[in-house]
Amino acid sequence: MENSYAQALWRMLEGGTPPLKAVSALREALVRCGREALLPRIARAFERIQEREARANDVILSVASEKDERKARASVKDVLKQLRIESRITKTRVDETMIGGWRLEGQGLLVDNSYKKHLLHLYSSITK
Amino acid sequence: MDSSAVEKIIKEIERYTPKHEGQHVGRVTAVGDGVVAIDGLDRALMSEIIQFEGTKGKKLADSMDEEGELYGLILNLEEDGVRAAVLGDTARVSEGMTVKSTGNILRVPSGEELPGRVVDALGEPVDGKGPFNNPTMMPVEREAYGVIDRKSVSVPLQTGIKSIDAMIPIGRGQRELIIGDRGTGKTTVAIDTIINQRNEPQETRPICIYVAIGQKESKTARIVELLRQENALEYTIVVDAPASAPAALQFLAPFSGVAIGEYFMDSGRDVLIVYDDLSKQAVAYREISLLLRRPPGREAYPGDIFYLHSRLLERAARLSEEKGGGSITALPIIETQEGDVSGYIPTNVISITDGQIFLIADLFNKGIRPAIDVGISVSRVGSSAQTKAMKSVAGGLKLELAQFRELEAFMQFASDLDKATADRIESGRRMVEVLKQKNGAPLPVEKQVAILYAASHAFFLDVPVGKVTEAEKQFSGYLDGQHSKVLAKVKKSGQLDEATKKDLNKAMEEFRLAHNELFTSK
Repeated sequence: MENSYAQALWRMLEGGTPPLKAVSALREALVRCGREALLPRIARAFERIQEREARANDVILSVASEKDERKARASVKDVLKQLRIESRITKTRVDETMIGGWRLEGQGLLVDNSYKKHLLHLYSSITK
Repeated sequence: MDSSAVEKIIKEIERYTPKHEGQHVGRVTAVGDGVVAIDGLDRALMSEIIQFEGTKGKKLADSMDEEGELYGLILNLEEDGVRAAVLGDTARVSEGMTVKSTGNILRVPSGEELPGRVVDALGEPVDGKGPFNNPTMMPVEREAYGVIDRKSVSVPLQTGIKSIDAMIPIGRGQRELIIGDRGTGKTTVAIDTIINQRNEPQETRPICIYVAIGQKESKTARIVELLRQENALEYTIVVDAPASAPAALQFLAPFSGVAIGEYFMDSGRDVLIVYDDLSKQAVAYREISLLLRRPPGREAYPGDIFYLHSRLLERAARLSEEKGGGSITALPIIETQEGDVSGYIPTNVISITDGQIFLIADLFNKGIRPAIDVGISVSRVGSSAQTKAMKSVAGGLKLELAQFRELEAFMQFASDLDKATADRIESGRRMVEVLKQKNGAPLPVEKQVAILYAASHAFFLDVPVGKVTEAEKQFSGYLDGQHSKVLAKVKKSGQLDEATKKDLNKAMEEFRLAHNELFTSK
């Protein structure tokens, strides 16, 4: 139930309602229904929505080592265009297990160009 | 490493071209009891297959040790994400794991390689005989054929069980429910029907599919071994979703089975599919639905439990000649509790199917096996598929047995009976004995016709009740040895003309003279 209230609050804010007005309207509605105790849970659910939305807008580039970053950034330029991801890379991560290459994840899309992925693909097609 | 392996590796490397295609992904936010909640996957389709990325953050060597890919099936599309059932080991899924959309709905392999094999609910071989080389992938969920594509049931499906073939006949394309308490012989009836298909000519022999849902592995292993011993495995496919399998696989198994069968039906062949049993499938679906937080209804089953079974059983059909004339005959099994057929799931499936075979624990315990209660068992469409020969000998059988059961109950209170009643009781007792049949011993239809013809002409009336089974067995052997031409004629023509009747009368007389010791009742 708290998720539904949190979603409603999120939509109100997205719709342009001032935060204070939205929260007081929600509070009034909860008092009317005798559900005031839900407020802390609604707050936590709201935080989760916020985190999710932030994550959805993140574009993360993963590389095997820091020195690969510049090369990877250059490589992914075209890919970003192709996938119509307009925002820039917001975070860079180092994942040694990738061995080499890069991995781009953001806005609900994933492009995995890591050496590990290619090697695993080859391994599975050879051992099939 | 031999040179062929090296060549294969080189070929694979040469053929490999890295792709930079974007995949739609989501993130696991909650995992529990075979169901995961996923954030993202905005473009997910209902019943789409998703892939869990278990290799992220793992070293290459560890990733190579992973036991195959892990997939899930989307079952709920929600406002802020999706919920999916894990088609494998849930322990491999962790919170925050990336989930990739595949854009494919669930498909299972089917084709000419499948008969003789044991597969799991996803169509993967589990019999250790290796993978399929060139399977045709069939969608697990597919709309059933419509009215125009179908034709009515007209060809019999012989079960080899006298009481069924005579009184509750099943036609190809029919859906006949086998219902009863546990331990009343439901599986035996279904397995005997599969075994009996070996008596069919190869060109008209149906491909049989046995779907084991929530069964003990030992039971399925025993059934597979029995089918192998009886040379029935070569035309049978076993789909196994054991009790230890996740609930999602148990609820999917019947759909996988029918999808495999549809390949053969679409190619113009006949298929017999046994769902053993749909009560367990309903329980598995209830488990999944409750975990998916769908609103529970009667007995906590979800609202679409009827649709689950109706859309499955509607896929059994007899196709028109334009569509190839193939068929799928379904024998779903339902387990009742204490003989209560008015439960939610039994009544649902009874209303969907074209008839029911009721197996009664009391009859089973009395030694009447198969323990079929012919009074309440019915086949709504099968009689139009019954051969003329069988129709002519089995016409009054059901009525005679029903009258016998009435009189039998009455007899317990009455001290002396008039001759007509006593005769009817004596005749009924012998008919019950004639209809008894051991498991794993289905009879070809021509022999059933001959035995029932003899029984309906008071042939066994002079045989003591305790010896009827023995007399019937010997008579059956005698027909095989001395009158095989008569049997062949009945089989070929499917009719019982005057000349054949004369031959059968002659055979009965000869047998009586040769085995006078059996006829000592009077």
